[in-house]
Amino acid sequence: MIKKIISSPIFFIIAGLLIALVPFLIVNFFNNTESQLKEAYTSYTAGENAKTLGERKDAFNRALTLYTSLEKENEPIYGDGKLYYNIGNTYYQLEEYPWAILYYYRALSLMPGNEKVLNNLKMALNKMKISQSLEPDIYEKIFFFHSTYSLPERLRFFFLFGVLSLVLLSAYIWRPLRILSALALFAGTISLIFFVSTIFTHYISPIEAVIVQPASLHRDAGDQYAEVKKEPVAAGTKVEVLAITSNGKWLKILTPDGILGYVSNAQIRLIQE
Amino acid sequence: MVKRYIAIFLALIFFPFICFSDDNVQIHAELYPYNITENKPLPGTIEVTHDKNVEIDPSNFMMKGQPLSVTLVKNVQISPDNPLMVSIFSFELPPQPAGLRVLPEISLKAGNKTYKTFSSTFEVLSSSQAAPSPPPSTKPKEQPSPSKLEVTNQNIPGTLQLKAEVQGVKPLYPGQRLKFIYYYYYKGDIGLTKEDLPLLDAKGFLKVGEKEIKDYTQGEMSVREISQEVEAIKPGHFSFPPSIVEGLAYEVNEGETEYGKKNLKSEVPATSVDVEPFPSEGKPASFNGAVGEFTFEDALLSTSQIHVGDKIELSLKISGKTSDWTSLPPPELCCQPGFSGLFTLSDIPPKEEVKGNSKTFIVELRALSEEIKEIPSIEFSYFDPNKRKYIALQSKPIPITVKSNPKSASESLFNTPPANEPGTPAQLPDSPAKSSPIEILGNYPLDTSDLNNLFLGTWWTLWLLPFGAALIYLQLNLKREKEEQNAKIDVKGSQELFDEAIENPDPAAFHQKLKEALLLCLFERRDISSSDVPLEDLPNEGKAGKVKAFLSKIEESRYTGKQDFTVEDGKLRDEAKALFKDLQSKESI
Repeated sequence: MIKKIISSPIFFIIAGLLIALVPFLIVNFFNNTESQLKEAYTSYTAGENAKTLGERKDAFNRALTLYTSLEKENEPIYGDGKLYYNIGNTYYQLEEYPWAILYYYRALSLMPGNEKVLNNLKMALNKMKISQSLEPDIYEKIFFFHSTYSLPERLRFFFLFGVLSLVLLSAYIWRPLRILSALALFAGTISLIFFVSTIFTHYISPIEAVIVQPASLHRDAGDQYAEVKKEPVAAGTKVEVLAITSNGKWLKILTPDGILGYVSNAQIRLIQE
Repeated sequence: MVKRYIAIFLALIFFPFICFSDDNVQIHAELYPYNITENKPLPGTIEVTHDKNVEIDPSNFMMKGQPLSVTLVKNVQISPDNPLMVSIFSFELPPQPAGLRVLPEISLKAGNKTYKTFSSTFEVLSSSQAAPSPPPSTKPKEQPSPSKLEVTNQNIPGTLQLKAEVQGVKPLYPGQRLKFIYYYYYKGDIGLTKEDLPLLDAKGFLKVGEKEIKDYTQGEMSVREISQEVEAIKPGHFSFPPSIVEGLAYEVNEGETEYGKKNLKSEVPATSVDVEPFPSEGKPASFNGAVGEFTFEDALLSTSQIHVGDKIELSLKISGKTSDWTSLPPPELCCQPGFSGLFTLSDIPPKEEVKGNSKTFIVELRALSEEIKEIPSIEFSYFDPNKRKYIALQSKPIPITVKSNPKSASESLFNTPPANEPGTPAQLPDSPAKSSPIEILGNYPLDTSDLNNLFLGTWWTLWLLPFGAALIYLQLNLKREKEEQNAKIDVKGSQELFDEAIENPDPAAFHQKLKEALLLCLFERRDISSSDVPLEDLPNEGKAGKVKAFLSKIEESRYTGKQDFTVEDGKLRDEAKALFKDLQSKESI
C-alpha cells in the first residue's frame, strides 16, 4: 500500500510543493513588527496635522526613522512596494525631494502603474523641475505584461503556470489525452513567457539610479578628472548606470540627455539594489 | 585495495615529518639595525638552532658561492631536557654605499644537508641620516636617586644640550598656526633625570595633533627633535618659562648599567610669543576670522525656478592660501544685505568639503517672498597678514524666479514677518505658522505582510525548473517500468495457459486451453484487440493468420473426425509449441 502511494505521481507533486512552501512559512512565523508600523503611521499622521513647523519636522523625522529601520530589517525588495511608497511620502513631507523620487521609483518597480505612486512621483519631479516622461513606450505597450506586473508578480505567475503545466503534463503521461497535452502546452508557454520576462528584467534591463545630491559629472572615476559639463546633474534625475568601478566608489552613468560621465557613489542611489 | 590507499595517504601526510624529524636545523641571519651606515662595515649575526649532536662547523657557511667568515659568539642550550641548542655566530659584510641593499641567502652545510636563510633587504643610510645608537627616553621610567644608581668614580663621557625654536609667521594672528620645537643634542648614552618643556604644554594655544619625534645624527652628535603644532586662539602676549633637561651618562657592562658621576644639564631661556589682535580699523562687518589670501565664488546648485518656501542650495567656494583650511569659517549670510527678511537659513550648519587649496560650503536657504528676483551678492572678507589689511570680496548676484505656492496663493509656508517697529522682536521661524495643504496622496497603513517579500515572488521559484524536470523524468521512467512489468505478467499468463494445455491429457480441455493461450498471446502482442475475438474474425495474414489456420485445422479435424491432429499425436503438440514459440519471439514483438 505504501509502495503504491510512493510510486504514484500525485505523491511527488504534493511532496515537492510542501518542501517548497516550508521556507515561506518559517519566514512569516517570526515576523512581529506591528507596533513599529503603528507608531510610524501615527507619527506620519501627526506630522500632517502638526500646528508648527517644529512639530511637523519632528513627527516626520520620527516616522522616517521607523520606516527606514523597518526597511533595513526586512528588505522587502520583492514585496508589494507600499513601504517604499510611505518612505517616499515621508521624504516628500520633509522636502527631501530627490530621496522621495528615489523611493517612489522603488515603489513603482513593485507597483507598476499604481496611480498614487505615479501621482506623487510627478509632484516630486515637479518640485525639482525635472521633466521625465512616465508614460509607457511602444515596447512597453506591446509587452504589456512586462511593465504591468512587477518582478515578484511575474515570478509568481511563472511558478503558478509552471505548476499547472507540470500537473497537466503528469496527467497526460498517465492518461494520454489530447486535451491534456494542449492545456499543458498552453500553461507551459505562459510560464515560459513570464520566465523569460523575469530573466530579461534581471540580466538585460538597464540598471537605473537616481541622483540624490547635485552631482558633478567627471570624465573618469575621480575628482581629479575634468568635469564633463559645468552644471552638475540635478538631484532627482533618473539616470542609467553603465558601470561601477571595482571599489564601488564611482559609477559611470548616462544622463537622460545622453551625456556620459562618472559620479561619486555618495551622490547616487540605485533604484534596485 | 582500500587499505592500500589509506596506507599510501597516511604515508604521504607523515613523510615530510619522518624526513625532517632527525635534524631540526634552522638558520636565521640579520644585520644589526643601528649600524647600517654607508662606508662602514656591516656587522650581523647568524643564529643556528640545531640538535646538540649535530656539529656546526664555522667553515661551512657560504654566501653567494663563497665561504663566509664567521666567529662563534656562544652556544645556548634551550633547556636541560631539550636536545636543541642555539649557536650564535657573528659576521661582517664589507661597507656598502647608501641605498636599498639585499642580504643574500647564507647557506650552511651540516651533516649531509644544506640549510639556507631567506634573502632580505635592508637600507644603508647615508651618514647624515644614520640612526643613532638607542636614544635616551624622553621620560625616564623612574627618577634615579644616588642611592639607587651605581655611580662610580669613572668619568663616563657624555654630552647633552637642549635647544628650542618657535616656527611660525610673524606677525601671528588668531587662527594661524605655529610650531614649537625642541632639539636634544647628545653624545653617548644618556639617562634623563629631569625634563621641563613648557613649550610642549602650549598654554594659551590650541594643540593641533600629537607631538612628533624624529631622531637623526648631525656630525658626531645624535639629535632628537620633538615638535608640537599649535594654533593661536586669542591675541595676547604669551610667555613660557625656561626649558631644562638634566641627565647622566651611562654604560652597560656585562648586563649592568653604570652611571657617570657628572650631572649633565642644559637650559633654554624663557620664550614668549605674541599674537596680534586683528586691527579694528577697516574691519568689515562680514569678517569672521578668515586669515590668508583668498578668492571667492558662489554657484546655484538647485533650480532657479522655485516656489515660495522651496529649498535653495548654494555653493560657496573659497580658494587661496591659508595655514589651516579646516578652521576656515563660511561667510555669514544672515546679516548680509538683501538676505534678512527675504531668505531664511537652515539651522543645520552647512556641509563643508576641503579639496586641495579650496574649501566649499553648501548652504541651504529658502525664499520667503515672490518679490525676490535674485540671490544677492554675498560678501566674504578676510585679513591678509602680508598686507596687514582686510579684503572684502563680493560674489555676483544669481537671478532666480520665485512663484507663489500653487494652491495657496494668499498663504505662504512661512509668514512674511511684519516690518519691524523699534523695539519689536523679529518673528521666530518656529512660531505657529499655517502649513500649505498636503499635495501628495497619503500613506498606506501597513501590516507585517507589507514588509515581507511576495509569496512565491522570489527567485526561489526557479527551483520549479529542475524539480519539475526531475518529476517528469521520474514519471516517465515509472510508466515504462510498469508497462514492462505488465507485459511480463501478460506473457506469463499466456505461457502458463499454454503449458497447462500441453500437459492436459483431455482433448477437449487441451483444445480449449490451447485456443485461449494462442489468442491471449496474440492479444499480448497487440495483434488483436481482445483475447475473446472469434476465430473467424482473426485476420488471415501475419501471425494471427497462422494461429487462425492452425486452430481451424484442429477444429476441422475434431469435428470431421480426421485423425491428423489428435492430442496423442506428438506432431500436434510439436506444431503447437513451434507456433507458440514463434509468437513469443522478440522480432515478432
